[in-house]
Amino acid sequence: MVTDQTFNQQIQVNNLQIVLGHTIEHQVVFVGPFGVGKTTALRVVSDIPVVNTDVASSEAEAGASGQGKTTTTAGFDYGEWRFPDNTKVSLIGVPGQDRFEAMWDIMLPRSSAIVLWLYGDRDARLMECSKWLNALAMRKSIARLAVAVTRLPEGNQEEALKPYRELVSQYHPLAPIITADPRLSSDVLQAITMALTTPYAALERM
Amino acid sequence: MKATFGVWSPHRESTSVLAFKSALGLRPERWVWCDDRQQASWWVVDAALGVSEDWTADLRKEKEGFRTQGALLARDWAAVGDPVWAFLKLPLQVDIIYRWVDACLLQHPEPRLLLSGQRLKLKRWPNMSRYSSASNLAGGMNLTVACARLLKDWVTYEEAVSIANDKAALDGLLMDAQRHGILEMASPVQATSMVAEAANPTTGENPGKTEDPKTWSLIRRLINKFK
Repeated sequence: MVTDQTFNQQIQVNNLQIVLGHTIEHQVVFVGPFGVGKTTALRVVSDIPVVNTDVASSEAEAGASGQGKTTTTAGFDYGEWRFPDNTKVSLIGVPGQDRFEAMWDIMLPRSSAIVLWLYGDRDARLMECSKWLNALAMRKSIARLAVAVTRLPEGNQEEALKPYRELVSQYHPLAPIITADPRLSSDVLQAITMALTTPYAALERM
Repeated sequence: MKATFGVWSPHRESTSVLAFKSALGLRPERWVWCDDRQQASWWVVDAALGVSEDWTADLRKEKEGFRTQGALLARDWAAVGDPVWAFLKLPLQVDIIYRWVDACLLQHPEPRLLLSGQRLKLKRWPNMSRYSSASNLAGGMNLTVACARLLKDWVTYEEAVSIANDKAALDGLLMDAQRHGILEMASPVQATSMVAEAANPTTGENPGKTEDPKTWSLIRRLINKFK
């Protein structure tokens, strides 16, 4: 599949149509901490069975995080949207742990949109948010960003999102922050559409 | 930002109605005549010129759903055929009109705003997942695109409706945005020139100086894909 993404040589025997060069037009990348639901979100919206590199997770064995998750993505997850004109949008989930930073360096700068998935029920949630925003800013990947907060406790969601808004606005004044469930295709699509459509002219003036 | 309210009357030529409207004009809010009573949140009739049963029935319905208020101007209480109308005795007294308006606004601090013809802009994204639905993915994306336009430029309400393709959903979102203080409204003056310069992502024509046309093409294809 990686080969398919970088150089796609497609031969359709029936009508002898040959397409040289890759047909990937856009790349949407899901980032966020370990276990937040990036792979789940990708599976929900991908047109193809998601290619993943999940392995047994040492974090899960240690019970450190991930809320019962037993595996982690060690390379990256790959899904696709396919359109009738044969163009594709690649959907990529990168691993959340710092030790896979090399993967972020490869995937983030070339992305068309980034959805940052964050926990809404952790004590260190804002610190985690700050860490990810820094990582994205360092890789100049903040312009097409949507922040999706999962697992927010019941109650006033507008109030709960306020500290995230204050933090994110320091990096991108118009970046959207929404509550989202990675298991729901409507929420995942909403986050992607928002990331793609957010005006970034304001950012260029900063 | 001044709150703008729509006023409808079938008797705009009546001196009593004109006096009522003039009194409203002295208040801090903006009061604008509406030709369509469905768009107005304040109705006023002159009992001397007749009150249609249809208006009374419609007012009862509107009062339930949209917090519309109806004033009936008459010399005598006997002219009030239905208690759904608030009786304002002629000759009108400005302080009584104000007391009635204040009481209505106190009772319903978020009356229906007049959006029609207004220029609108969002200060930031609303929490869009409140308006998404698994059964209407394309509709949710259209609404998102409308919001993206409202973030980028001043857009007339009518244009936003045409992009969102769902007036009820857009109205709900704009009402929430107004309540959260993230909706800016301006009078229609200059709207034409400002909006003419703005891009229309739904048609793909001139999507904006700083935006990649490829992105808008992708959004359009995505919406079609999930229709």
